[in-house]
Amino acid sequence: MSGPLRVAFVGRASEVGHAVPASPVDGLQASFIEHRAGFMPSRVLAHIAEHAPQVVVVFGVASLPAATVRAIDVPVLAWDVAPDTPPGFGHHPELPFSSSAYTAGQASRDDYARVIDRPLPVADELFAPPRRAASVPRALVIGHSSERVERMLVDSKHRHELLHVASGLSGETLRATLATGEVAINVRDEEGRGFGLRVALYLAAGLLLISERLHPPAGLRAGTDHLEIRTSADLVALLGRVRADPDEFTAVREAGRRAAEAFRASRVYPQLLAPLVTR
Amino acid sequence: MAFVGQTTFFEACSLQEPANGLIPRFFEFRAGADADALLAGLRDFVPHVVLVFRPEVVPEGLFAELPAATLGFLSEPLPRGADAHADLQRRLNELQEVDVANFDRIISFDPKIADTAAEVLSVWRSLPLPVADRFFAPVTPMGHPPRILFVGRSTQHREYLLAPAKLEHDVLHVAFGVSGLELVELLHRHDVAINLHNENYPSFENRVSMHLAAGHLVLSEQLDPQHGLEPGIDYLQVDSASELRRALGVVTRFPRVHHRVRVRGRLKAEQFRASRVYPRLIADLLGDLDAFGSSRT
Repeated sequence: MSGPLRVAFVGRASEVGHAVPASPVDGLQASFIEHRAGFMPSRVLAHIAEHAPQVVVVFGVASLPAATVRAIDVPVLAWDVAPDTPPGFGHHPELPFSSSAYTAGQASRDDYARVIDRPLPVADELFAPPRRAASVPRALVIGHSSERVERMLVDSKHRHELLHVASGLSGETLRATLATGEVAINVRDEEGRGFGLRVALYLAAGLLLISERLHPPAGLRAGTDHLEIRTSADLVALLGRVRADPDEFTAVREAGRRAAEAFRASRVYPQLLAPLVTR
Repeated sequence: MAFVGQTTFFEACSLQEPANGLIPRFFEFRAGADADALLAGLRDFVPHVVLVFRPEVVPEGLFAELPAATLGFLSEPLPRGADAHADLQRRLNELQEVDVANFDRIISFDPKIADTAAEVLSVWRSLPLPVADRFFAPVTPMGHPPRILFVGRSTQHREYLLAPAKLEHDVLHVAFGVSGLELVELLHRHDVAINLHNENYPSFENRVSMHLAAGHLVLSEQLDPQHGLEPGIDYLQVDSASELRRALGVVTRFPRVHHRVRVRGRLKAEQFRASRVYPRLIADLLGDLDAFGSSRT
């Protein structure tokens, strides 16, 4: 192969933008087009015509109309991520997802060359050295809220320094926010299993990750590169330990940062996407 | 003058620089925190006046021997009638934990809760929570697109109203944990602010006055009480998810369309300025105590 792989990514920056490098990196020239329900899909086609990608990655299987996917003349992959709305609002009358006319026209798994169901990579520019916990460490939570999320976090919010940003972070604002914390918390919106949109991001940013059980673990090991919790009380206790002894989990933090290399965008995308491309 | 409360919520309502004879200091304190440490800090500072946001979090008898005038500021909504929302009932239950003997006088942020609060304690005055001076900023040109902010915890009611707006627009929703200078800087990076009640009951949130002070265009659910603000003049009223989404759409397409509302709102915010409110309030308090005494002493 010659030259970097040209890939167009389609999605919402505040949800998945951290998975797409903002500038060319080894072997990858990425472009990003903001798209969400209610946006004109013709903008996506215009972006593709302008950037001439060799492959297109759409975040969210049903993000684009099926006709739009079929109109793209290079391989189109879907990255299977959760819908961009808090759980419990699937039937909100003001949201397009609740309209059968809308959902009927959206793409399904069969419309794509391939559907990828694995953790999101992390843009190279968001990698940072592991940070030592401050005397009063701050924990970050980035992502939708839900009744379950609030139940898991409420005691820690009252006892520890915790910043929760529920929506709207991307680009430089995201990077600046990550730089204000030492610990990151990953809890699931709803009961069940899952991995989380930002797990690899937190590790790459050098944060100490505290998470509910990851499923699939994607190569991560609880107790080695992150800390696992089951309950709200576990979280309160762990944040207390981090505060009491900022150095106690230094090895975990550093191992997490090393593990994040497996999610580096310039490493993941070329390996994953190049085989689909005929140059 | 000592201000006591949870920094995240109440530092923004306090006086932070000396003003008209008041020398302020903020003391972090929340339910279950180390009360002895608070008392020791207050004794070191030797305040003439101690103002506590959420007086119900102060343990029984803590201020009994404190040689200062003490003022409790009720900051939480309470039931206004028999059919109260469960959230309001919970807050009333929490208020019933207050030790009234800790305080010389009580203020409520909402005159309409005074009758309910009177079941527990006697309300001396009602006034909205002031806004710290450092939040005040001039009205600046709207960004393209406007930068939209909601600062407040997540509830079902709020998420329901926000969901379509969040889908269509980039709404930065900070659900918890920003305060102090970080909050000031956050506000100064945004143009449009949203105010939604916790749940489906009327109230007046202090974030309205804080955002007006920062020069924001404020989109809010109906305010009750209004505390002198007028919908359509000082802020825009939005009472449904679709109204909020549409209002943001209009501002995004025509950023200057509500410029006059921002200017009027910013002017009206002066009535909430901490350095204006607290000196007069404390002068009244000390005068009132001098004239009528207190059951605490």
